[in-house]
Amino acid sequence: MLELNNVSKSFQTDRIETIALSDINLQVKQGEFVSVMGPSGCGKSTLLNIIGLLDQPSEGVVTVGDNAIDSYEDKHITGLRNEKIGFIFQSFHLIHDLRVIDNVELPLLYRKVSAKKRKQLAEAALAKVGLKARTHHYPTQLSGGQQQRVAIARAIVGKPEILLADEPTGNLDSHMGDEIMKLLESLHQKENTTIVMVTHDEAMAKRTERIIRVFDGQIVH
Amino acid sequence: MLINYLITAWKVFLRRKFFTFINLFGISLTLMVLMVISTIGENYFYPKGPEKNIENTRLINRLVLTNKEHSDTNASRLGYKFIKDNILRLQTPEIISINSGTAGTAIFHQGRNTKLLVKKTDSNFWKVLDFNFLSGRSYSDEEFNKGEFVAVINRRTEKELFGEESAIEKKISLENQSFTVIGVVENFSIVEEVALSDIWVPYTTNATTDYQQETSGPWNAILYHSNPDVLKDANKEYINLLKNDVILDTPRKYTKAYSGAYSKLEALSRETFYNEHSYDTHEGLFISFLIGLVVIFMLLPSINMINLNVSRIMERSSEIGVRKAFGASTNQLLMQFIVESVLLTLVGGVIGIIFSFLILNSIEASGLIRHASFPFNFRVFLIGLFFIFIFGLISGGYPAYKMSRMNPVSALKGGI
Repeated sequence: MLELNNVSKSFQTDRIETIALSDINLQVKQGEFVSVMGPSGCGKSTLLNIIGLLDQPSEGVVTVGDNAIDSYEDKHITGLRNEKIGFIFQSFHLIHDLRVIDNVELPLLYRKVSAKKRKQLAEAALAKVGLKARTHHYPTQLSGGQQQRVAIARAIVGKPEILLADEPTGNLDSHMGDEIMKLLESLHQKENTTIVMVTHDEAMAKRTERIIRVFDGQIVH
Repeated sequence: MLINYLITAWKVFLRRKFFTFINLFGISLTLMVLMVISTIGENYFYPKGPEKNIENTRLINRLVLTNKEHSDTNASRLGYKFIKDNILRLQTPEIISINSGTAGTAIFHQGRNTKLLVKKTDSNFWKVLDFNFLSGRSYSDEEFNKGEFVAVINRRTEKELFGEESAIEKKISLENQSFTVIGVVENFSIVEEVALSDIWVPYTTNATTDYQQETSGPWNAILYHSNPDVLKDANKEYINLLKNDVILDTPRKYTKAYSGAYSKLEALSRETFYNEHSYDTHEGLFISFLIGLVVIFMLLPSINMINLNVSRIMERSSEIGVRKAFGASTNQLLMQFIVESVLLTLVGGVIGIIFSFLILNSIEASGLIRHASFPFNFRVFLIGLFFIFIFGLISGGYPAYKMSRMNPVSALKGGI
């Protein structure tokens, strides 16, 4: 499903080379729910960005589904991101100028999907996260938990192969965090969605099937 | 996709009313000023009144006389004698008209004083310029040669002096002489300064002939040819004559004469970059100067808007990051932002054009530029569209380019 082979990532800043990830080998199977844990600055986010094709590894190969990524050219990579991956961010990243439904439709805008079909799919995704009544609100009119649910609807609307969640409960209180976690669990169980979740929260991590621990840019077992 | 870009752009504008307002204000104000200036300029360079055949004429209205050392210089209009001795020898023009500069005078008529402009001309004047006669006619060669006391007046003067009655065959008193009105012409804009006056009379009606002995004085010469291409050589011939064969019969020891037979553009250019001891009009420099002014004028608000737009990158970096993460390509984002800025510029442009027409109408109505008329003009409209396009490109293109190329990871973090 998802495979990282000998992936390294280093950043060049002011003549100093910072190694963010070194020699990562990782496999996530279809329908698996895994969490990535580790202290701040250990490379979790870089790892997630590389899995999400937002960032290019310095060395190694990333394979998403059947595609080993051999080109990070804009045209090639944006299509793959659009079809294969759904993102959920810690700070939701909803577009405040757009209504809830328009936010959810966003991934479909970059595919050839008719406006009518887009609306249907977005409404279905919002129904799944329990926000069908809020389609015409703006994000700022919703609570944090509701905003994250809109973000989840946006991530699943295009039926991607993998959901990548970067501390999805990090900005929420424990009650709302729990709701979001339940939603992810239900997506995983009912729809067999593959989820990779970065988290700081040991309790949340324990609810996933497997915990990958990262320390100083390496996976520790 | 385009419809989607438009809808998104519209939503962004509505949600960011202050930003939209500032942008629209800048665009429409800049365009309005440019449109007003270019309309007045267009009116000046392409007159619609008697000077509408401007391509067929060249004006000589300035003469600089100097000695060898340039230590004694006299600059003025032309003297009658200078015209007779030199300009009338020119072969290129088909017709040459001699006329005086416009002078203000007060006419006492029916118990009140009316201030009016008077111009003294020959009969050729009516052949080289294209006046619109409302009634009557111009004076003939014969009337001119005989020095008959006839006058042509404009519609405004007819109304001021005679009310609703026709002025034809009526008498007006000028410099203690009585003139018969034989023609009434339509009013025209003050920018047509070669034709400009309220009353035109033959200069052969002058009380004395002293003027015929003067080298410098109040006179202009208009050169005319029915073929504008042929007329282009008139200035060469004139300058050649001034350099090699000029006749200067003056009590003072002037040996050199600087002058030129100019089109409106050349005349304006010479006025701007005035060097009295040269034949050069610096036309190219003048056009570059005008373009430079327009560019600077447009650049300032453009830079302002670039600044505003770039600072908006920060605000919208999360949006850019999200769109990229969910599959927007750099080109799609570039298109989206360009559509936004072009739409904004277009709306601002339309507002600017509407305001400029309102302003031009009120200039017309206020009489600030006498008898000026600024009807809807397709050429000016095209100039306006061109300005809008350039403005949109300068102010929207660069920020759009910069925004669309942001790295998604750093965009999501909220910075460049």
